[in-house]
This record gives sequence, C-alpha cells and structure tokens, in this order.
Amino acid sequence: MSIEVRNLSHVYSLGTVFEHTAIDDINFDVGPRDFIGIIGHTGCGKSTLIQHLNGLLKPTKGTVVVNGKDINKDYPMKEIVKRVGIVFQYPEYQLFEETVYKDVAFGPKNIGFSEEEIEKTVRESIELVGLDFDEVKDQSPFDLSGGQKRRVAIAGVLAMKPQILILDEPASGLDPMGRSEILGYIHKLNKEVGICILLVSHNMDDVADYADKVMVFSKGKLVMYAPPKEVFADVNFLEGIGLTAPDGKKVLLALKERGIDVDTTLFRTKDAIEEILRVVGGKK
Amino acid sequence: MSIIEVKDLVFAYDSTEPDKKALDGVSLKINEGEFVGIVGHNGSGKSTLAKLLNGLLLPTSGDVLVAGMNTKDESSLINIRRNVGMVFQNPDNQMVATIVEEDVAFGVENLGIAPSQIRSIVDNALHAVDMYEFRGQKPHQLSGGQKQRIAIAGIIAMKPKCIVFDESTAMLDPVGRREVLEQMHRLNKEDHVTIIFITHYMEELIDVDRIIIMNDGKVHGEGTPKEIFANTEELKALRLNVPEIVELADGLRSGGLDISHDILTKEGLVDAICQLK
Repeated sequence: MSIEVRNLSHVYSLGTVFEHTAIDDINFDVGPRDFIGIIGHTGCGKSTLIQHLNGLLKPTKGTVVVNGKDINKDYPMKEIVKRVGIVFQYPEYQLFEETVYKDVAFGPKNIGFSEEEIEKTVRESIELVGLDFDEVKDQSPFDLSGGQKRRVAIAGVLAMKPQILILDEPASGLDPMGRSEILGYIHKLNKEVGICILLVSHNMDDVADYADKVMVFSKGKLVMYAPPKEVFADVNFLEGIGLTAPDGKKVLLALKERGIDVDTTLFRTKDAIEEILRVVGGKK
Repeated sequence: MSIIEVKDLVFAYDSTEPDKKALDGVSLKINEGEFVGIVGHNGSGKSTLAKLLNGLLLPTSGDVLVAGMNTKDESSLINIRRNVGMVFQNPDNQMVATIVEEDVAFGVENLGIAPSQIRSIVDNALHAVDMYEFRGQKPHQLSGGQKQRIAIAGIIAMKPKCIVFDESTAMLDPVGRREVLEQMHRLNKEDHVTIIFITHYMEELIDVDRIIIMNDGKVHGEGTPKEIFANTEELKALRLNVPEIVELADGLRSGGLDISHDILTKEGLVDAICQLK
C-alpha cells in the first residue's frame, strides 16, 4: 500500500474575499509499512492535507494516488475509506453507540462487512489497542476512562482494516502514561501488523521516538521530508517555523558548545544518555 | 493570605449515584500571588476541581471560599467570577466575537463598565499579551497560540485576582505553548495574579512555586517542583512522569554519573555534566 501525492493544492472559499490557500503544491511518496511523523505549526495545513488522503476533501489542484489509482477518479468512496483510516483529534467525542461492541462495529457494518467478518474484526481491533474484549464489549463507551475511550475510538477505525492509518494528535489530552500507551500500540500496529502510519504530532520527543521519516509543514508548504536525524539537525530552522528539537538533542548541542565532544546528530533521549555516558565516562 | 480555600470538598456529577465521586474530600489553600501547578491522571478530578473554583460547579458537600466568599452563596457568584477567571483547552471554543478587540471586550462589557473606560481597558489587555496589532483581525486568522493569548486578554481585562488555566497549552504547537506559558509567568510576576495551571506536560511546571498531585479524586501530595520530580517511580505509578530533562538526568545517574537530584533545566544539566568532565 503506497501513497503518491502530486502537485496537491487546496484553496478554501475559492473566488471569494475569504479565499485562502491552505496547502500549496505538495509532493511526496509514502511507502508500505512506513511510519511517518507529520509536524508543523498550528494552521500550517496538516489537517487539510490528511483529509485529502481518504477523499474527505477534493484537491483544488493535483492528485492523490493510492496503490497506483487516483482516489478521486478510480475508487468508489467506500473503497478508499476501507484502505485509508483517519483518527481525528479527540476521536472519543465521536463515540455514540450504547456499547463498545456496537460502536466499533459501526464502520465495518457500513462498508458492507458480513456479520461473521464484523465479529472477527471488532474482537481483533479491540485487542489490538490493548483492551480486554470480553470485559469491555458490553460496556457503555461513556463509562470508560479518557484513555480507554480514545482507544475504543481508534479501534473503530482499525475495524475497517485500513492499510494506511492517519492519526491527528492521538495522544493529546492524555496523561503521560496514557500518552506512552497509545503511542506504544500505534508503534505495534506498524511493526507487527504492518499498517502504514502517518502520525501528526506537536510533540517532538514522540516523533523522534517513533517516526522513520518526518514531514515538516510550514505555511501550507511541505518544507522538508527526511529521516528525523536530518529534520532535527537544524534547531534554528525548526524554531523559526514554530517548532523545536527534542530535549535530548538540545542538551547535546549545549554540551558541544561548552567544548564537550559529543555526537550532536543524535536526538533521542535514550541515545543522548548513552552518548554522554560514553564521552564523560559512566560506570564501567 | 489565601485567595482560595477548599474545605472537605466532595463532588458527584450524578445526584442519583452519590457514591461515584469525582472529588472525594479535597482540602487545599492557594495563597495570593502563588503559581500552582496541578497534575493527575485522566479522571483524577483536576478539571472538576477547576470548575468548582469559580462556581461553574457547586460542591455536593464541603466548601469553596474565594477571597472569603462561599461559592454556595448565590449573591456572591458574580463577585467570585470577577476574582477567578478561567482559560480552557480549546481556543476555538472560547471566541465569541468576530473581531479580536470585540472578543476581548465581551467580558468587561458584561461587568457593566462605562463604554468610555472599556476602550482603554481592552487596549491595555491586548498590549499585555502582545496582540495589540491584531486588534482588528478576525479570530480565525490567528494561530492557536495567538487565539489563546486573546482568550487570556479577555480574562485579564476583567482584572481577576486569580486565573485558572485548564490544559490551556494542550492543543498548541511548541512555540504557541511557550507564548502562553510566558504570559502566565509575566502575569504572575508583574501583575501579581495568582495562577493555577492544570497540565499533562510536566516540563511546563519546572518554574512553578508548588505542584499539587491529584489522584482518584483526592489530593495525593504536594511540593516544590524539585521535591515532586525527585520521585520518578512514584510519579509513574500515578500515571504521571517527569520532564524529559529529569529523565535524561535519571538515566545518567543510573549510568554512574554523579548528577544531583534537583536538576530540572537543560542549563542546570549541562553545567553539572561539564563539572564532571
């Protein structure tokens, strides 16, 4: 499963005084099993972009090709939402059914799964996000904790068996433990199930920990698309466009400035720890 | 002198299920001019507590006193809300007008202040958050951080003694978060506004006077940032964490480096490492 985006632009309220170009001439490829981080200041066009990837928004210009076919020409809408799942911000606000089972089953039912397939995919999806199927299936989703509701909402998208999963700030508003649990399950979906992940996040440490490649958006343009090592190399550039570098990277840079010869291309906290121990000399 | 006093506070959302308590016997005092951080897992009662502090919710039992006034006393409510302002999480849900300066004026106008004074109050509030040049813009043209600064301006225009920020940085990008955090500290230091800041981002709390930890509807503990962040394991057991810099320092300490437990900032950590070299 791959995505090719070519010359994609979207203009809101075209031809009116409110005309506003949200994304401007975007080009990129995403390969199967990729884990892509998407970062950019608020209002940079990230949300507009992701809504193009499963046909919720139509391009003003350009094309979105999924698995060799143009999603706005060659696919019926039902087919594309099966392949590309989007988990929006605060997805738990979209829970509505009486039970967790019915809520997760809503998507697959709508796109025409058989009863048998529905039962199988609902169970699998709930288990994939780390919940106990038998324990939660008959509960009201509204009686669950914040982190559990978030996971049920993600399971509802997973149940449609997407090969590409796009998540917009899936950890925002969760407590620190909830944050690392959710990101852990997303990581597992990528590594063990082979689902391609596009993760939108304002948290540079999360992106540093999980993404194989990072897209950087600024003012509607894709200004960089590279492995995290390259993206986090220029801290001044990132701060100039409303972003920052992970803390581990900042510590290494500050040490280098003070004359300690550490490798400043590292950016993860755990790598920074090892590097400082190597140079300063921890216990052997 | 305390501006807020909470005594044996119990709150249940559903009166038919009085045993399901969102808050279960909370007592605390917030001193005038203090900057207090509140942390706790999802569902620990932080936001419920925030809404009880200016009478948006009323206690099931127990009392909340604001500058000596009880939130249960209906005739005091207007005065209590003038004293305690709130800034919430989603900037888009807090905009009520179509022009920035009208949005900032909304609260003050409702206080019944003479129109002749409103102009200068709004201008001052916009200057305070460094948004004066945007006064004629439409809110939707602003970034998330800018919108939150407008929400803050609308609150400070009413000159409250205390402002509660309920996860006001959660939806912002790194620069937007920094802008809002700087505004909180400026209000606290220069204008002596008492600040209560609820957040899941531990690194935003390294400069506060005191951190209160909520757990399952109760106050689990409190202390200075240095005291609180010295107990990584305990915080993790409460579904919390330490700031990334503290995690780095912890890692170096486990690796055998002699790094003090009270380091919270990048600068402090870099100094400590340089001294070892």
